[in-house]
Amino acid sequence: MVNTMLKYAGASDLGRVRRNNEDAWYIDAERGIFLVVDGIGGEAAGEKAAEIAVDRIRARLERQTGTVEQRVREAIAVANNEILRAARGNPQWQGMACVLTLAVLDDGAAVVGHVGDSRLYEIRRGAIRKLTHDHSPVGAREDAGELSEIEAMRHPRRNEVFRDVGSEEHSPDDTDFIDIERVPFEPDAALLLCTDGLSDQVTADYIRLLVEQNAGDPTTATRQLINAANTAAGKDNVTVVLVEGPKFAASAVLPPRQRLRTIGIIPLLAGLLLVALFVAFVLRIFQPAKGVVTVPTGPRIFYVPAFSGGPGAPGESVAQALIEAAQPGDIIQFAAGREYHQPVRLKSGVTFRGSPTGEMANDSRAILRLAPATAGPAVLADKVRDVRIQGLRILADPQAPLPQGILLVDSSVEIDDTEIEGATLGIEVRGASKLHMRACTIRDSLAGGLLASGPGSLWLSHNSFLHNHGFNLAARDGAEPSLTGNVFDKSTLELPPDLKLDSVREHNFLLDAKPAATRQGVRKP
Amino acid sequence: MTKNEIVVGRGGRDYWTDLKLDTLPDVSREHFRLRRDPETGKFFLKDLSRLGTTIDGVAAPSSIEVTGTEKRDRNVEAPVPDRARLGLAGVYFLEFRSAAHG
Repeated sequence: MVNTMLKYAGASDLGRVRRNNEDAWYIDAERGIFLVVDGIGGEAAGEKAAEIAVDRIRARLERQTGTVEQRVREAIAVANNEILRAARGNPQWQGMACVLTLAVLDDGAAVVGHVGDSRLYEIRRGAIRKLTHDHSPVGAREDAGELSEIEAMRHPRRNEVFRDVGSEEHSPDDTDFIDIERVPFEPDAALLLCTDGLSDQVTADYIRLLVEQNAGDPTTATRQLINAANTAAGKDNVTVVLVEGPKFAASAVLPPRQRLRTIGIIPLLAGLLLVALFVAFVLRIFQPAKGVVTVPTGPRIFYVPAFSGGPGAPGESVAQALIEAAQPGDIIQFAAGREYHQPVRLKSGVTFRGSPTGEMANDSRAILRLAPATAGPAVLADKVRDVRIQGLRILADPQAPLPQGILLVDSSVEIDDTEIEGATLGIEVRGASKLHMRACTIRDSLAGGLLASGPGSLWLSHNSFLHNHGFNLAARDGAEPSLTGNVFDKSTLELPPDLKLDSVREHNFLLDAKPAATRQGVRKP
Repeated sequence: MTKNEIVVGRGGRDYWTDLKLDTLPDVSREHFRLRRDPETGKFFLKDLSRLGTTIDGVAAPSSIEVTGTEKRDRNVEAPVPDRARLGLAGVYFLEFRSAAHG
């Protein structure tokens, strides 16, 4: 009865390759029970194992005796021994088993029982955390930092598990069986349980993005997550269960402040006065108060007013003043659909947002188009870290040429849902930079889509590279790209010698991927 | 008893029981839980049965609360002396002795 304020959804899909779905899920919101199961075994056996697990766990948890931890342990142990017993009685089901992740809500916390390589993530305040440890050799190496997330997702042995439910007799307290943990479930957090059909195909950051963009609508979020897994490859069944705390939607979607967006008609003088007051207000916030301990609060959002005065309008330096005032964790919010004409210099730890979260349409992004005589790039990251850019549209054309849409120099930047059109180079990455780019489009570049040179790493997932002259992607001088779920209209990719085009093709969409055409434009190692 | 908590009862398909009693149906499938407090070494009994548990002839408080069709565990325990006779539904008796103290 604790859970009437929760929003939740579950969904499961066959994937694009498998013929039967051996995954299962179960939600009992009234009792706060959330479960995903991934069956193991040939023919119908995996399905049977998952079915037994759901039935037995449900039956045990309906009886609310013992502490929640004991109930969870016993439920999984009962399921384990029942699967084993059923398999012994039926040769068809020999060797069947499953892996599972179970969360039971209890008094502001979630008790998590976990066996195998399904996962539980917490999504809260713009971050995602994996709360379970995969019981698999690859997962263990990933947790130990020996493999990156992308390396683990691609590892040929990623399907091996060293713990399961149903292949040998267990009691609830066996040390090498159930991982049990009580984790806080904050009102502004969401918990996501998934089988490896999702986490092997979609990065944690992209999972977070989709969940945040659909905050308040878990049904759509689960559907989009399944679509993302199927688009990436869809090699496995995929199952997602999502539960949002009562304040998750409010904290994930921060509405733009309407008053400052519609400033255009107000006489310029009044506008300037407003801006001056706004800046004074902002600067006042940063006066350190003597003898007062600063209590860290949530992110502050600075709204950059858009002016209709055209290029060079006096209000534009406000943007840079706001950026200078921003502290790590803060958000610089540009007005969606409005144009800005000054270059933006990124600052460490600050998020630059051009669209209200949850919307992914061209006209809901802020536009950055430099005034004709302005020296590019439109966005510069010079030795900054932990910067996020989201929902910007960077435009260039012969009247407003641009050497680079975004230039990274020795910086670590995340870019989501951003479009760069018509620049000489869409994005240039120099030196020891780290770029995470998701759901972005680079198009109509004059010399190339994305150029990386130097010992940096690129994590590109679910982006589109369209109609770029020269190359779509070039990774030179030690730059290491990891590519998943991207669309390239042409295979004009310059890859490092150890990354073969075939392996790129396996995880991405090369639209011209006919044998004769793929050779063209590819620099042979 | 080699762990800090055991479940005693007749058991059943969805019941975990550490000590499974093959006896009359008066004894509940999950009759009681016996817990050892790791710090003091003392034992506590939580009665989850339909027909009750006695400790040396005295009824232990029931930890079960029934609301509608839901059974809830109120988490009520009774201390168990180092030597005790535990009665299950008045039909089955267990001699309890603490290895450390009794």
